[in-house]
This record gives sequence, structure tokens and C-alpha cells, in this order.
Amino acid sequence: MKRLLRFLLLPVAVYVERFLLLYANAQAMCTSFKMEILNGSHAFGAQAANGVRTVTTKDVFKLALFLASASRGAADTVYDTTGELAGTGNYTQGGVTLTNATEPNTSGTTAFWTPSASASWTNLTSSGAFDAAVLYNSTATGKEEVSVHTFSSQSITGADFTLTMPTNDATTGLIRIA
Amino acid sequence: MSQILIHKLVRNGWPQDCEQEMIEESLLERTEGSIDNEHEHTVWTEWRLDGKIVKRGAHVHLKKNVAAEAVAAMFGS
Repeated sequence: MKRLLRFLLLPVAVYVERFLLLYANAQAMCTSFKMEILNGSHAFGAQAANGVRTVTTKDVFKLALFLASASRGAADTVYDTTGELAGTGNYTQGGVTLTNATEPNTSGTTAFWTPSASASWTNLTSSGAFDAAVLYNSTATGKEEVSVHTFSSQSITGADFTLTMPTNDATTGLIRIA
Repeated sequence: MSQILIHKLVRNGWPQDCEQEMIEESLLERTEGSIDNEHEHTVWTEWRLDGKIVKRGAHVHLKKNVAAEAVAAMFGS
């Protein structure tokens, strides 16, 4: 009887395991972003003339919210709306533009960058529970994705949602290259 | 008596498209909660009317995030 029960429940267990593995956001820096850094595809700050090239205009970076049922992670390459909150309840797909008033910096052997202000959504009603924010380069033609940041699952109903950035240093900065 | 803007419970399920109305805040049950771990400090506030959430806001403070390790290879063995 036990064997029969185990046989019958096995497909259910496999399905549940696959569901849990396939539908979860994972905090990560996108692998493609690491390559794009080497290609000089992102400008988080404006450089002074350095004899090689001069980047005087920073790119615009945005933060978008994703449902807990989505599966964003290191394998992402570009921003898209798959798994994003629906464009209802005062949420606009594409997310919000981040304030970028602080140049990337270094401390010890670590380089870091953090947006200089919180990201917030006013009078939001989310289309479902969400637990991830995707950072991407909105200036880039392909909307190249930088990273996925996870937090406890939240559902917002007719109220504000604020995402406050971590301390901008080599230990906790939003983006760190150590 | 202060008033608060809430969603009317015009249908079951997620009230994203519900109408909103002002209601006396004293009629609502207000609860607050928080999470504090190495990744975040989160505080949320919920307002319930007859046991149903009619308003919920949250503030997530990220603490520590993603880092990439930069590796420079050594020539030779």
C-alpha cells in the first residue's frame, strides 16, 4: 500500500519541485551584464577625459517590479515584461527611473554604485504579490538588464510602496564588483 | 475624526480596479508588521474592514545586495 501511494504521489512531488524551481526570482547580477561591462556598454557615471574615450552622459537606469511567480535571475539578458506587475493600479510597466546623482566609487579593492534616492510608487495597487525588482539600462537599445534584487513578498493595496537603497559603500552597495 | 482613502470591496479577489472611497479611519483595524534580516528591513501597514484588507502599504529597505567577483588570471602555471 505504501509503495502504491509513493508511486501515485511521485508525479505530484516532481511537479511541485519543478514548479518551485521554475517559478522563483533569484537575486543575482546578470551574467550578460558582466560581459557588457568589459564591452563598455553601460555608463553609470560620467568620466572625465581619460585619453581613451570620454563618457560625458550617464545612461538612465530603471527599476521594475516583478511578481513572486516570475523567474528572473542571473540568466536574464534584457528587461522584458514577462512576470512584471500589470500596468494597472498606478503601476506603469517599465518601472521608475532611478536617481543617479552619485558616481561609481571604489574602496579598497571593491568598486560600487548605488542609486542616490529611493524608488517609490504612489497609491499603488499591485496586480499580485511581488518579490523582486529588476535593474536595467533604459538608455541602451536592448534595455540590457543589470541585476535582480529580491525581498520579502509584498502585496500593495491603494497605498505607497517604497524601496530604499542600501548604504552606498563597498560592503552593501547595490552593485559591487569585488 | 480623520478619513482615509480605501478600495471599495465591490468584488471578490484582487481589488486593483475597484473604486475608491473615503472612510473614517477609526472604522478600520490597523496592523503593522516588520521583517528584519541581513538582506532587508521591511515595514508594512495594513488596514482591514470586516476582516478584509482594504489598504496595504510597505517600505522595503534593502541592506545588502549582489556582488560580482572580478578575477584577473595569472599567465603561466
